[in-house]
Amino acid sequence: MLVSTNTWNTKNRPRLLSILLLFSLSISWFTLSLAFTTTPTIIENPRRTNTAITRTTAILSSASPITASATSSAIKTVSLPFTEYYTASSTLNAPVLFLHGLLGSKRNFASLAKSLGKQLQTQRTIYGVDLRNHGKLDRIMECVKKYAVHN
Amino acid sequence: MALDVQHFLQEQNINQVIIVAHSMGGKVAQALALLQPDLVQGLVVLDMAPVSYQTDEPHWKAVTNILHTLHSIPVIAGETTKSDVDKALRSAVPDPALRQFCLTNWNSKTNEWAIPIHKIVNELDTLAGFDLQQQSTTSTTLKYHGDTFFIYGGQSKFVRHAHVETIASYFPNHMLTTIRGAGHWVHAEAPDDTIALLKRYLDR
Repeated sequence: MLVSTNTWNTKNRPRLLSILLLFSLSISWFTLSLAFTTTPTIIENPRRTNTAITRTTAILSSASPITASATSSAIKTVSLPFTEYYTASSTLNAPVLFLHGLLGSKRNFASLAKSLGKQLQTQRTIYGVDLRNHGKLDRIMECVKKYAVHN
Repeated sequence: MALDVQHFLQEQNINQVIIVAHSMGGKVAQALALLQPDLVQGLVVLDMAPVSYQTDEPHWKAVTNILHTLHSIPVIAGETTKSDVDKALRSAVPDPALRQFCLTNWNSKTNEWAIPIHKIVNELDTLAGFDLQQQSTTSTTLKYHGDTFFIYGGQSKFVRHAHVETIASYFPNHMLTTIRGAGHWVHAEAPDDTIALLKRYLDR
């Protein structure tokens, strides 16, 4: 933990790193997105950018479901279906929660989450949830399975 | 959506969580971290920036096109089959892997969509946005001071250099890493690299 604190609080080396970052981004600039089938070959070292940039722009005030969730109690929450992909042997460390993207579901992270749980040195329980309006097939399939078992 | 996640944490008696979130989930997670920082011990965002995407940005337009196409495909519940939908999608979504991903939401038992496509289509504008309205009357920018790790695909445009300033303003303790060969679905396209980075973050 001491080591980690030092690592994350280093404040004096962002300039060069951000230049490198801009460079790498400019490369990606010209490549098309949605290249769904490409396999990655190179992985870069994490780049630290701790520059504290003060942003004076006031936050826009138009309504959004994300905002509304925290600002108004009128929006009803739904209970999200979840799966515990890995159960930690101790509850000392904060658990990990995976959230999927648009048209996705918790199943998208199932194998990655299981594998990660086994590999972690810090024991953490790992959860995945289906976000609102997503992943409902999972529950349907579970019902089908239960039905099949009962009959 | 962020409140749904907060509700889940309460249900599970989780006081503090580390969230790893992709795309739309990444927006939800960033919103939760900014609005309820005490609940979030750490945050890893896979290929998403805390910005509003505009309808004329090609990468977001591609997403909305897919959703609109899915919505426009006539479905007769119980009759339309998965391969019918697959065929209808072919011209709008030529990539078979992406089509397959869309079709994970098709219920082949009942032959209908498993998710409410129309609701998602109606929400597209708000999903594109990132407008965090503050409860307080102060106009200071929200900040999340926890360690925030952005992993993005080098081939994707969802996180761009123009977003770095905004990222820094919300997340002063952030780190950015690119997986160069990967696109938007970093964890699917580069699972080993993603796990290695997550391990480094979670075991630090």
